[in-house]
Amino acid sequence: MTLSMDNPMAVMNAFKSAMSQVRADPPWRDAARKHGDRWNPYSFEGGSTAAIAGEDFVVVGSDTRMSQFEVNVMFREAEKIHVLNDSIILTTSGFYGDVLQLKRVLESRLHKYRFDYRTDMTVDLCAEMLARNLYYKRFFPYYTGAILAGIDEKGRGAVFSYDPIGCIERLQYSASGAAEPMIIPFFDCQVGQVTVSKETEKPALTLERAISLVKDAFRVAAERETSTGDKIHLVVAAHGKPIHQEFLLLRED
Amino acid sequence: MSIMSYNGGTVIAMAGKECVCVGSDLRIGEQMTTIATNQKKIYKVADKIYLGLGGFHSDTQTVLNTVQFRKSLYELRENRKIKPKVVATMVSNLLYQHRFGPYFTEPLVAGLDPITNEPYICGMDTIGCIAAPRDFVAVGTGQEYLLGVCEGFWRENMGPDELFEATSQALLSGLERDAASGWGAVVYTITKDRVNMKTIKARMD
Repeated sequence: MTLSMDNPMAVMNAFKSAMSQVRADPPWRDAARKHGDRWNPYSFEGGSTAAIAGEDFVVVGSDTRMSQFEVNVMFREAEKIHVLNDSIILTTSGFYGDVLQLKRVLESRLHKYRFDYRTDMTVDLCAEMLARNLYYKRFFPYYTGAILAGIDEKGRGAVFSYDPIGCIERLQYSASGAAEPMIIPFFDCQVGQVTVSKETEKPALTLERAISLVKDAFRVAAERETSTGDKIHLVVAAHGKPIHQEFLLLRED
Repeated sequence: MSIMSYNGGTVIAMAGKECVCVGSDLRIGEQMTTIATNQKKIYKVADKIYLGLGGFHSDTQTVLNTVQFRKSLYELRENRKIKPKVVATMVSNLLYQHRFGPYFTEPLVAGLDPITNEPYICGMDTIGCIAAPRDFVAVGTGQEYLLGVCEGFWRENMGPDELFEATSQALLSGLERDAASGWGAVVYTITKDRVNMKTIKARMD
C-alpha cells in the first residue's frame, strides 16, 4: 500500500501499527530469544516431600509452603499430602496445578474402582495405576515428583517413587521436590545406613525413629532451602490402625 | 554441562572447638569418564591452614600455584606466619582480579590461627565473595547433597574425634548420591598440635 500525505490519518495509523508490530517482535531478536519469551505451560511452586516405609508402617512428610520464583511466598498452608483412602497416601511436589489434577484423577479412578469392585484399592495396584496415568501424558507430562505411600496387601509399609513421566520404583525411603538433594543423603545415612561398615550395630527402624527422622529432615531442609518451610505435614499409617495426621511448625523465613 | 561440573569433585569443611576438619573425594573425571581416582582437592597452604578447591581442575591448579606464591611472598615480607583469614582474603582478591573472566573454581579455606588457634572456615564463589559461617561449608558438585547432612550432624563445640566423625559421615552420605564425586575420600583433622590425615573406606564408584 502506498501512502501519501494527502491522508494524514491513514499515515498515522500505518505508522502506529508498524510500531506496535516491531515492539512485539523486534527484528533483532534471535530465534532462541523468541522461543524463551513464549508462554510456558508449567510453573514451579517449590516445596518438598519425603516418605519412609517400615516393617508395618509408613511415615509421610511434606512442608506446606507454596512459593513462586523461590522468593515469593504465596501461601503457607498448601497441602501436598493427600490421603486417598485408608491405605493409600499420595504426596507430590512440583507444579501445584498438576499436583491437584493428578490427585483428582487418582481420586476419581479410586472412586470408580470402589464402585466396580465393592472394595478399596490396595496401594500396590494404585502404584501401577499412577505409573500408567503419568506415562499416558508422556509428551505433555504432569510436572510433579510423586511419591505414593501406604500399607500393602501383606500389611507392610510401602513407598513408591516416580519421575514426572511414570518411571516407578519401590523403595524403603524417598524424597522429592526442591530439597530432595538435601533429604535423600540424610536418609541414606540414617535409614539406609550406607555410610557405616557392615559389622557396626545399627539401630532398628521403629515408628518413633522414622517419625523423628522425617521431622529432622524437614528442619534441615527448611534451614537451607528457601522454598521449604512454614509447617511440616506429617501423616502416619500403620497396619490395622487409622491414618494419623498432624501439623508441626517450621521456620517461616 | 557447565564447566564447574566438568571434572567433578567435592570439598567440605567443618569447624569445632579449637579444631577444624576438611574432607574431599578423590575422583577426577572428564564429564562421565573417570580419569584418576587419587586426586585430593585439599592443599596445604601453611602449617595449620588448608585450601580446598572445587570446580574446573586446570583453574584450581593455577589458583593454587598463585596462592602459594603470594603466601610465601607475604610471609617473607611481613616476617610472620599467615593467618587463615588472610589466606582467604588473598584468594578472594586473586579471584576478584579476574572478575570478568573468572577462574572456574570455588575455593574453601579451613584452618587454625597460628597463634590463638581460633578455628576459621570459609567458602567462596568463583569471583571471590567470601562466606565465613561458624559451622560448615561445602563446595563442588556435591555441595547441595552435603549441606543437608551437615545441617543434621553439626553441633556446637565438637572435639576433634566427634568432628571427624561428623565430617566423614556427611561426606560419605554426599558421595553416595553425587555421581561426579567419589572413588574414596580423605579427611584432614586440624588441631592445635597436629594435623591428622585419614583415608576413608567409601564406595568405589
